[in-house]
Amino acid sequence: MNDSGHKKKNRLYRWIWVLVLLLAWELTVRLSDISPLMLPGIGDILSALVRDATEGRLLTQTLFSLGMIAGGMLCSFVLALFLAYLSRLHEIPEALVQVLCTIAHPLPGLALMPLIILWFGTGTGAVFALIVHSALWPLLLNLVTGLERTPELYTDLGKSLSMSQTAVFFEIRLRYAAPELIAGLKTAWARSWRAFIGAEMVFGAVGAYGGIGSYLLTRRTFMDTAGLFAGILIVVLIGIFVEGLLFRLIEKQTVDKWGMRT
Amino acid sequence: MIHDALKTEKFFRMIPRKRKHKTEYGRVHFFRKAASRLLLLMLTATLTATLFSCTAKKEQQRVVIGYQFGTAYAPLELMKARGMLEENMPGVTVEWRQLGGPTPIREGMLNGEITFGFMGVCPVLIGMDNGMPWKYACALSANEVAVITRSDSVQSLKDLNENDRIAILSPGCTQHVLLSLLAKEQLGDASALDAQLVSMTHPDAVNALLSGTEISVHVTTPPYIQKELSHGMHRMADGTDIMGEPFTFICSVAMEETYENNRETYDLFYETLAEAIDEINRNTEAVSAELAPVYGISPEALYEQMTYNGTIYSTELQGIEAMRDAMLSCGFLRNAIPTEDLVFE
Repeated sequence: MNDSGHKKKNRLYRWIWVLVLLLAWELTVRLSDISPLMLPGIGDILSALVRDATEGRLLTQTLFSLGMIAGGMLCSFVLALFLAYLSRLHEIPEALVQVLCTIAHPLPGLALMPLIILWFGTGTGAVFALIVHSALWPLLLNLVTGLERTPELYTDLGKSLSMSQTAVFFEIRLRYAAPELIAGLKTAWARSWRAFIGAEMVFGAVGAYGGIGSYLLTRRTFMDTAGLFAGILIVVLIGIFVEGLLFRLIEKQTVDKWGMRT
Repeated sequence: MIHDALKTEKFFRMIPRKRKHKTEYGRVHFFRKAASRLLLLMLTATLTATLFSCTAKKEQQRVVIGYQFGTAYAPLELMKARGMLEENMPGVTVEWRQLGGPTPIREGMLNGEITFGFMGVCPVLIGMDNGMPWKYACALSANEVAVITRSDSVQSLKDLNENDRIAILSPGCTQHVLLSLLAKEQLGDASALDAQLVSMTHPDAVNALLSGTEISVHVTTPPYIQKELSHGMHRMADGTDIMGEPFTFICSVAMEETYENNRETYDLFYETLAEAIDEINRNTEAVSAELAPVYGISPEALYEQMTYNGTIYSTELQGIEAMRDAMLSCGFLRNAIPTEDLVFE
């Protein structure tokens, strides 16, 4: 069987499984006398989703979450690029970057949250700091590995074409590091998304109405199980969108196009 | 364990995935198939056995009490310290779960783990409004709830600007309801301040207030009231002003199922609770000396907290209907729960 045929079939099976799982869910709700406070029906969940998106603040909260993550990722990206560039410049900053990574990378953002509250307060700034912390280190580690991996043949070629050090960094090393950079971005996304939702659920809303985490927390407090599922559904959909579409698109435009996929 | 796992893995490898060699190895295949079926059967049997043993354990009488932190729960700490329940209910296993808020207690009661819960009066009404099959059993305590601010110029909620943040414990808590009532009275809109609310634990909010962050108002209870007042902050309003009468703050709640099917346990539990409350009211000083190590403070400090302005230990519910009406008018409840559905009996 050829590859594209297999892929098509695989996609079909996946959709069938989704339908089977949904059907099993709905049947469980209908046929057993399980309380809707424990497991609401799919219809209830969808109507909670529509209700909170149109009348409530779910849409604003979703956009706020995505905006915070996008801003935090952008900030980490610039920082990671800067630190990686520094570490290529000289051995002394390189050692500093290594020390920072060793200290900060294994440190979960939530463990830092009490300190972040102390330093940055409880506002948007605190959570922004948390997102940057969660995204920066995996991104930086991957980036540094990718940059180091660049064969000397290429960099020497650049030098003999009298390219400046900066040009070698951006034109040769950074392109060569693209697969690692994308892998780093994926890890950074997953980590910061988790940290953001986690922080809101543990430490309460951020900003005026908060993000998805505070939506989940409020639904839980007000005993709205259908709304709780609606929030989880949004998180799942965003995950699918970002992993399956956004990163796929970036890969197509870069590593696939440059023929770097192994 | 590891050896067993390896064995199982080898065992699975023995079972061919596809029926390639059916004709040549038909007999072997049959045995493999039979063996895999047997394994599956054993697995199911183990699972069922575990399930049954779990339910069997449940049949043995067990009472689980879900409560929270603070001197408002002192009667329960006394029951626990003296083993009063074990004495009054021989043969019953008693377990205590100290949780950080009403929500996990409610969830524990919904899935049948927790028998008797203790929380503020408002979360109970929110549960009822959403179909939670529970009712108030009795009151536990009342204490002062106050809206405290650090800035001298703030005398009413009207004096707050949009950058001021207000710390409450969590959305839908009794403090939140009181603040909304005050906002309705002073600003004409119960949800006027919703965008300025921050959920924080009491100690965190005290720190935030003292260190001069954007938090400028805190709706709180003793001992945090005293702590904030001693730092020169002032009360804007307190619970009795807002509600117009004293009201039960912490109450006990039980599931309808417990009340109907397990009446003996229910009665014995609440008799014991009443005994503990009587004991506290009769011998406050002795009890505070006894419980001081539990709270990790000196007996004098505990005595002061237990007798602080507005602190009452009583089983008599007070102001429940008024609270329901207030919550209805502020949009915390959707249904006007009939008075006879609020309390058992």
